[in-house]
Amino acid sequence: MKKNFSNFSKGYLKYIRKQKLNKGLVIAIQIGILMFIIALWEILARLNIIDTFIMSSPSRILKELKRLFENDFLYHINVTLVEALVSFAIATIGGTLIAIILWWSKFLRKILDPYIVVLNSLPKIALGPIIIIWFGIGTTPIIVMAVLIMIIITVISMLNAFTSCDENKILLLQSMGANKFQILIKLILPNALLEFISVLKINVGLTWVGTIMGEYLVSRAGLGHLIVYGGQVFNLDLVMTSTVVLCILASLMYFAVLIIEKIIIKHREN
Amino acid sequence: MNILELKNIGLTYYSKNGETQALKNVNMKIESGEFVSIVGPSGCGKTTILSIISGLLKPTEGEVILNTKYNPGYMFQKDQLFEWRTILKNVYLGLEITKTKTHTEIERVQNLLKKYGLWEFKDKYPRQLSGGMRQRAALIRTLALSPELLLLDEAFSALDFQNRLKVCDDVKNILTEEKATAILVTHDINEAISLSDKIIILTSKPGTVKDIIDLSDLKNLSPLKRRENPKSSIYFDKIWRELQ
Repeated sequence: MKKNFSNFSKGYLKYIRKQKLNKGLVIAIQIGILMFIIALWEILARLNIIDTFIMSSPSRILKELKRLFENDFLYHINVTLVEALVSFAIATIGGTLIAIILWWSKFLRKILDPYIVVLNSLPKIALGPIIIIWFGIGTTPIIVMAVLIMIIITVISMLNAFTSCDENKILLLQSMGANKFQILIKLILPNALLEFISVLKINVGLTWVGTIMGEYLVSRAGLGHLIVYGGQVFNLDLVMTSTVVLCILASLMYFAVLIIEKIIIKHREN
Repeated sequence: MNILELKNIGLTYYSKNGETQALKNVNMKIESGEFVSIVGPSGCGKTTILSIISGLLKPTEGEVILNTKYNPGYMFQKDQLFEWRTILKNVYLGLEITKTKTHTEIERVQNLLKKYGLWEFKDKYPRQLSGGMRQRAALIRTLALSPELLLLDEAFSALDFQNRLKVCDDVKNILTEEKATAILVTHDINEAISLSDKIIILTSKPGTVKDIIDLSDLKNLSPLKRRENPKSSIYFDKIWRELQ
């Protein structure tokens, strides 16, 4: 729908203009800050005020990026990206399914409660050696690590959303003769949709934590591997470049989730 | 004809701290087309009686005789409309649950919306409607399953006073029109007097029927007219004293 601006008062148009100007200013300053940092970094490096051996510099990162892409950088990116996406999917879907099962059976919920509490408080990184021994080297242990980091919090958040549904809404459906499956489909799941989206947002951050941590522990390829390797041989150009690429990938995935959120909410409104 | 009869209903709750008798020897007969209110001190098991009638709760003693074809319809203090559904989809909820969403049923429900002034809001979401409108939508959602008996659990308490009077009037009209029988649980004596043919007074825990007040001499007055009628205050005093 296109707005017909001729119908609005002068004051309103002025207000809209001001809002637009404000938005533009914010974006301009955001870009400005980034440019400033990059420029400052480069200048300080050129003037030898900072040591490029330990600080690298934007131009060296660009050079390194070119060199990496001429080699097997895409392969490394691909490995990490697949690990992150697969872990994200397994943990989000698996965690939600487990939460559904626990919602369904109050008895099971009571039994498993202390286990969930303990698993939640355990720092998953401590399981590193065990995961390496059990799952060997390759992508599997990394996915396991990332899934472990995400799945418990997913279960807890979703279960919390499921059980916090208004008791009277359940009674309403029961008074209509609904069975438990209908209550789940018609009420519990749609009622938890917003919570599910916020779980997606949490997991999209955690999946990178898990993947990179997994790659630090055990890996032959991937961005985390390059960062650790670069650190070990004091190739800070490699470390910085991989970190920048990682940052871009993580942001892209976050924006993808934001788009999914918009689609889901719009779909629900229709 | 009695649409509902409760015979010696008793209910005992069991919990860690022991057992509590919530209801004891509750007897009542509700005739078809009647509007009956249940009043009583708080915690006397008013809502429990509705749960028992609707079959959501099994009494530990006694018998419920329900002469209806369909499940009783239930209305709550809050409208319990689903925020993610439009008014139309909210009203269809019961048909979806009972898997009776046929053309004839859809048409009947749509006619209810038209008849009671909600048709133009059918594609709106609950949050876009006023409290009174929402409660009316909740009533139509309940009526969609053509229940012969409606159970109203403090159905008007969440509304502000102005709205409450209007919605009461509204609901009473709709129920009369649809020839439905209704049982209202309320703590508001005036509300009970303004709506009912009969008021059942319960004692405090364990709840049992203390008295039944017949209001048939107010029969033909609307709820608003009843509130102005001097007889109402006489009934009010009587019920008030019995509740002490």
